Amino acid sequence: MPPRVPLIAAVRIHPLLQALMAVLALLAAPVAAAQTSGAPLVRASLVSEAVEIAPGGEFWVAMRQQITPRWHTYWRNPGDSGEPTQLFWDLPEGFEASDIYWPVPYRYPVAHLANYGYEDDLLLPVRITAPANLRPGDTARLSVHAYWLVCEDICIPEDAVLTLDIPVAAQTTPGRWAGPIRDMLAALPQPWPQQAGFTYQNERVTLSIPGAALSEELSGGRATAAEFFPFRDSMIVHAAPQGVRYGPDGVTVELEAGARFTGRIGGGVDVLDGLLIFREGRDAYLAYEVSAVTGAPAGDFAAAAFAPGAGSGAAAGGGPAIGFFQAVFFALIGGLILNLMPCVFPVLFVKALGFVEQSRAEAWKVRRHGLVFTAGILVSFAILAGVFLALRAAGESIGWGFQLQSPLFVLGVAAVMFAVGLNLSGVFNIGGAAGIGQSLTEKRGLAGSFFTGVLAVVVASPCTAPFMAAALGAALTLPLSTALAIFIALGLGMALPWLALSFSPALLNLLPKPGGWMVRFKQVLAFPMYGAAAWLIWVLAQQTGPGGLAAALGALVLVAFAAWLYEAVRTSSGKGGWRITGAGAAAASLIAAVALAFAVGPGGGMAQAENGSSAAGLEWSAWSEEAVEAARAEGRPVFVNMTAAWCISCLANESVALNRRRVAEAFAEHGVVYLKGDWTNRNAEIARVLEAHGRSGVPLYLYYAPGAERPEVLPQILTEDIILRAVQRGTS
Amino acid sequence: MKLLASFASVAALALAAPALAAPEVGAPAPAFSAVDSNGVTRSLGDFAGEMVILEWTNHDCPYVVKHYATGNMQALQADATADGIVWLSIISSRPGAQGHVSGDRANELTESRGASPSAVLIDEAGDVGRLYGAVTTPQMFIIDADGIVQYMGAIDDQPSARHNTVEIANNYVRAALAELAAGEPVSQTSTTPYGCRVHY
Repeated sequence: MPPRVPLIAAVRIHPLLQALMAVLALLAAPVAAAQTSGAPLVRASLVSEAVEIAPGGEFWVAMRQQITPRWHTYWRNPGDSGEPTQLFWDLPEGFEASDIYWPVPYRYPVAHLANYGYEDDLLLPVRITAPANLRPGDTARLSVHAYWLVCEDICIPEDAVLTLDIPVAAQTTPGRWAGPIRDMLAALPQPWPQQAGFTYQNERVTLSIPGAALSEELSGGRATAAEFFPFRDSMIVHAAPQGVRYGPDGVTVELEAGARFTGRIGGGVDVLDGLLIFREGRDAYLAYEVSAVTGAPAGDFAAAAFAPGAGSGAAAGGGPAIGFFQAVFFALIGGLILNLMPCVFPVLFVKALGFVEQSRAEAWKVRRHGLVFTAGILVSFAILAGVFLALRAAGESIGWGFQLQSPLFVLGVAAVMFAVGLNLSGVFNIGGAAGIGQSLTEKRGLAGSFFTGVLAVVVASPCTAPFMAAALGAALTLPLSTALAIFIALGLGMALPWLALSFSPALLNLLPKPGGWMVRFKQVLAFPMYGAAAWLIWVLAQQTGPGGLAAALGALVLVAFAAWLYEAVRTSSGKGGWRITGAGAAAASLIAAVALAFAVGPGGGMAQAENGSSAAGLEWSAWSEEAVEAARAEGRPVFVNMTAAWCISCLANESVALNRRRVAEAFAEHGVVYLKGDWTNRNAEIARVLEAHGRSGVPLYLYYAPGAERPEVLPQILTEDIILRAVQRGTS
Repeated sequence: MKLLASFASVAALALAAPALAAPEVGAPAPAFSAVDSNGVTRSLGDFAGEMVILEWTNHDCPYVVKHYATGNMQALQADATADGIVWLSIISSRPGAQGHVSGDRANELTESRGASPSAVLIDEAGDVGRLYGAVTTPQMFIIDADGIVQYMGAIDDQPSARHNTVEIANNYVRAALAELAAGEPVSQTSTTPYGCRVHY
């Protein structure tokens, strides 16, 4: 009996944990999903984004192919030889499966021939529709006879019957494959909205595709290669080089005509459709489905030849990106500012209290604590940076703030903040009876300093300061060592004030004298912590829905219970039995809290709102590349707001600058299309836009003036005037 | 630099133009000669006045296997040769590559598979294959008694290695032969061949 998906889904692997596993061992074999065919060259399996499905619901599954190195399977058009992967479904009554949504393929040239296909680890997504008459409690068995050809020098046909049992429930629940499948869907080619044209003459086909955005990819974008892959056989000579040119209005591709054009096969060509693929190095980063009919659209599409490499590298570093020393400097400043964040300050203030109490102690001890605290911050940043950079290197489309796209991490931070709040309120104390600062001189105090540093970094991550996004955006374009340097600078900036305090007795003398006021002040500081925890729970509610919210609140109640019990045991003078039982119960409730946290799940379950409007009358729609292009094609100005529920500065900007009557009026007057991209959960498409503008996190504000080639990037701290000026400038 | 690069790409496009006079439907078939599995040199001219079928093959290619394991190719060969048509199976695999065989092994394969070609040509240099622009195995050509190419392309309309596709296939070669026998023009004269690439 093969393992079934729900069994595996019960051991959901947290994305961050997965990332760590990937860092430690790149070969870490993923947990087998569903049934594995045991075929020698392609390991095939069927995976589903949902571990439970709702009646009448729609969800995505994918056939996964883990292909032996150097071998490949085929795209919908295999090229000169080969055969595409085929799926023959055997579904329960009323279920429907779509065709395969084909990912962007590679070209494999062999001698004077070429093929189109895939290698390594591949997901072929299929949309499944469940009938409405399912009953919760039933189990749906999806079964598919998968057949594929896998080739290196020679070809082997392989096949397998893959099955997947999915329980029916009241609502669809995403599982661990939701992320990878959604990423694959986000990377699928999108239909290019404008009608393309072709002309055929002298055995050559000239394909003309209108769209300034396309030529921008070639004139100043990331592209190092651009190519056209036809959907149909015998349209072009697959192995022949393609001549790519561009002008202000679009792109042309010169193709060597295949047998359908020369008239040898079929009765002439009415439509030429296929993919226009932009690559950076070997990998496609952008692809559009293009459909062309006879005749060339009007416009200048061939002013310049596209010379791979020329200008493309410089463009990646130019524009909004910044230099290394600037990036380090901003990282340092950003780190300093992090200290002032409402969620960080209380933690660090407690640390400062320690310094104050310690100011009478020997200077070298104070210094040592300052250094260990700094080490705690730096180590945490290095780990965070390592995970971040490793994920980027592995090709994940993530940006800064990625850790907050995981509901589990959000809940973890909320629980830590809540616990710190309880500690500040005096519900429980750690170590000696008098509180945090006192054990400084003990050895445990050193560990305390270290973990205060770690804690500061953990609680600081929601408060991504605007400075950090720019610095981290720069880090992504730099070599690994320099990227690490930027993260370290960030940590150093954060530690700097405390380092200075611990090294300068004069500064210490400026601090107020210790006294009874410290206890009250500590208690007051508990409330920003509760506030931060409440906000994070609100973020979590948006990521997971009511079920996740209930689990999270339950976990917090258990944390409070464990804290109270811990203190009761610690301060009691009772016998061993009570102490052991109490400590055991406290540990058990903490474990239960963790178990509840895992029930929160990986998120992604809540659909994003398609549109909305604010009290000030500002109406917005969901962002997409197509929406931007469509509005620009109409000649309307476009304002793009990339935001996330966990991004404080985004929310602040929206309330103080965007959702204003004057802005709403100006938008209405000039017909500005307001598009909002929600990055609360992972979204590769949005991550790509951020990166294209030298950012690795939200917020990002773009204003496309009508007819302008490129958008204007507005500052990350917005005011009404900045927006109004941009709108005026663009239309005057 | 940019100018140089564009010049280079234009030059590359110009060089990529087909260098050979590929066979065309309605035109005389290019003349060739090759050694068969018994060491006899065979030329297209030897069969003047007879209809000739060319079959590119590679016995280990899954697409060829489909047509032989199901008996489909043997049936076509038997019917064609019974009608007096010359059937030449051509192996263009280079030595060491998949499908390359000695003359003895080729005869053994003919015997064991119950095939009935008029001859099996060992084209290990790939000259005949390149002359005809053979891309895949299987790939078929029909040359009429006047030496004119009447059909070129796939054996049928099922570009798959799945054996059960033979039952539902529309066999282009069989259809063309029927039309030629009835004195009608061939309706489907050229199709996109499918299968394994020829291992030149």
